[in-house]
Amino acid sequence: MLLNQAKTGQCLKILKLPSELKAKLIRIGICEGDQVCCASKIPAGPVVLLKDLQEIAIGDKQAAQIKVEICQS
Amino acid sequence: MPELKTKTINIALVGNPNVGKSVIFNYLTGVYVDVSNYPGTTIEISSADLSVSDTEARDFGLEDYKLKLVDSPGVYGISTLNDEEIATRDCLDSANLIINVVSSISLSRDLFLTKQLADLGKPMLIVLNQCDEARIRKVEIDTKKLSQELGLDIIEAVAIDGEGLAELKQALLNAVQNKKAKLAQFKVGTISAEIDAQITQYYDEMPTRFEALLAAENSSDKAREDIYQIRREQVNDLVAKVVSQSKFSKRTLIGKLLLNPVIGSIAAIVILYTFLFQFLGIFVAGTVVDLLENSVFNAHFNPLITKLVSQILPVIKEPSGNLLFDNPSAAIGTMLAGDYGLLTLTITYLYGLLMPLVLGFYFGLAMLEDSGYLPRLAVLVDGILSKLGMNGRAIIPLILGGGCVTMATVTTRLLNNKKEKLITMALLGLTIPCSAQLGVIQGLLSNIGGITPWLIWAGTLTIVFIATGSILNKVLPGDCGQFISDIPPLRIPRLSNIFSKTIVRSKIFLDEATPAFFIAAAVVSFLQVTGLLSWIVEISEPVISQVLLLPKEVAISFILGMVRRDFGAFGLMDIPMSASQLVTACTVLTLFVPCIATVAVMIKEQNFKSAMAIWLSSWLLALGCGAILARIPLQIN
Repeated sequence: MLLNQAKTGQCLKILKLPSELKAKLIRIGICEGDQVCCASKIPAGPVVLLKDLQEIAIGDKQAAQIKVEICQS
Repeated sequence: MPELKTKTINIALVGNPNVGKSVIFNYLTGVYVDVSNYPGTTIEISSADLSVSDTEARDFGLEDYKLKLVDSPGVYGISTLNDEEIATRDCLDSANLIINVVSSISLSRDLFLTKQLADLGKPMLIVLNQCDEARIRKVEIDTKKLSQELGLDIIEAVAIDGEGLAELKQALLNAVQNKKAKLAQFKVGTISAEIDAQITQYYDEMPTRFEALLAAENSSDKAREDIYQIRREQVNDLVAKVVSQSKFSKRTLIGKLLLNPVIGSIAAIVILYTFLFQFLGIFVAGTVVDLLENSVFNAHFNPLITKLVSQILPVIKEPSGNLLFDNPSAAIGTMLAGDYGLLTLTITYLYGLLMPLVLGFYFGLAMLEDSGYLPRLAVLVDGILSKLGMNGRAIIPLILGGGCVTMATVTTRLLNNKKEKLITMALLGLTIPCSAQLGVIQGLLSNIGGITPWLIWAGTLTIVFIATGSILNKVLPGDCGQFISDIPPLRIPRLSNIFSKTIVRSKIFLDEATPAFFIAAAVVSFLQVTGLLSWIVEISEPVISQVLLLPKEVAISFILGMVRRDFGAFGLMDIPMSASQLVTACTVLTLFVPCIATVAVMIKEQNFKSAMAIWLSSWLLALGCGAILARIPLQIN
């Protein structure tokens, strides 16, 4: 599924980052293979991810380019 | 003969956004740079010499050396992804020593930059800041181990309380004294062998390691991603070794609620309503301004000035005809102490009205900033703003515009996308009132009573805002920018910081506004004593009274508004109008042209054509909306 379809509370694994966002996201701390938690999803707006202590917001259009899967636990 | 020329040692202060660089810069140099809790604040690089006492200068042999500190914009890495990074890169290039400020609560993010800096192979020192917040969040960092792994010295600090900063200064001073600025006591961090392997081919072509690394990283997207990936894994390993905490630490409940779509939106409306209407409108523009205006300026100051001036020159209450030719001394007296007098009205406006309003606005803004609320607001509005061709980050200039549209127009630089920049600028020029204007208008609207007038005013602006944004989004080519933003933790603002920020910013604003106010007043009182003012009022009467159904004196406010928006708004306070006329006048004035200073900045940041397009369309919009509003029967008592 795509990251913009995530729902609040879901635990997600990042599968594929698009190349125009990759460098930016790796620097902030999000890489392919990472597990993150969807802290909030604004309807038609950004997804807020929680990783370690950090909250990172990603716009709807950008999130639609990121492939993720729901992971258990 | 001692050598007269002093040597300069360049020290670059580098770190992620929002880690406390500016506070450290302030401590070390005594120079205040704007500290804000959102990225993009330090767009211009500020530099200053380390402030040292005479004893320190003697003891440490600073006669021959000058330590120059450079505060760089917050970045997540050095590359060419945006203007801030390019600026930081330039400042690193000339640095002899790097002070890397790292936040204890976001190590896995911050250490990416640290590792990249270490790979540059320059002497470096780490300041591990915000240690108090790490303690609160129960994040334990093994500083010793981190220092070993990085091969760098670490100073633990709570910069905002001054903790650890004396130690930092001492370290800098020692460097000069002991090593005569060779900086040998500062370590060069451990350079990653894996990354080194990637860049060897660039060594021959590039004069320094610094350039070789950046050339390698920028050679292609793939190369950059590969190096970044290696570095990211190193950082993750490092963090796993030195940080102990539960994996997903608990967020504060409030932080969570503010990002909830429903509760967050309600909270945003309540916060902005409280700030704009209750605080700025009713309290500052109402209570405080009334008190100052009536019991200080109108009761004591102005009569005193008029009395003093009229002892030397005649002051005429309601001049008519061309006073300058008929009675030059009365003309000068009137210009000084008459209705638009430089010594009476201008000073009343500046200190009785503008100053409290500006202080109020910056106080509120500082609270919003320091609490970490603005980035959360950006998340909430991103969806809406992206329909208008902007992204969530644009909310920052839009809110700053409520302080000073000119300043906010400069801040549109933090938007990286051309289309977005132009749309934000246009919306600022067309629909956002600046602080004093906002305050006066809030005051006028709340005087009418009830919330209806306010809703009509706010509603009209919202409609214009949305309509203009959507149209521009359709018409202008290109996509809107990406929205990727990390959200700083919520903090309880420190009052000392709030006050110093409020005062510094208000002072900057007033220093700039004061001459402009005097010029505006001089122009208008000149127009008055030459009879030109009544002529302008006469010729604009058809528009004002036929189109807008307003008293003709309102024309003066509009003329003043072209010079300075806030100055124009003050004029409205003295014109008797019915409730619905007031609402129309306030709305038209808000939509009316941006002031001269804003237009100048627009020309500089965009071009003459765009600036003129915005300026001219504000005429049409203001008059058009005014004409409609004036004809809608409004239920206001």
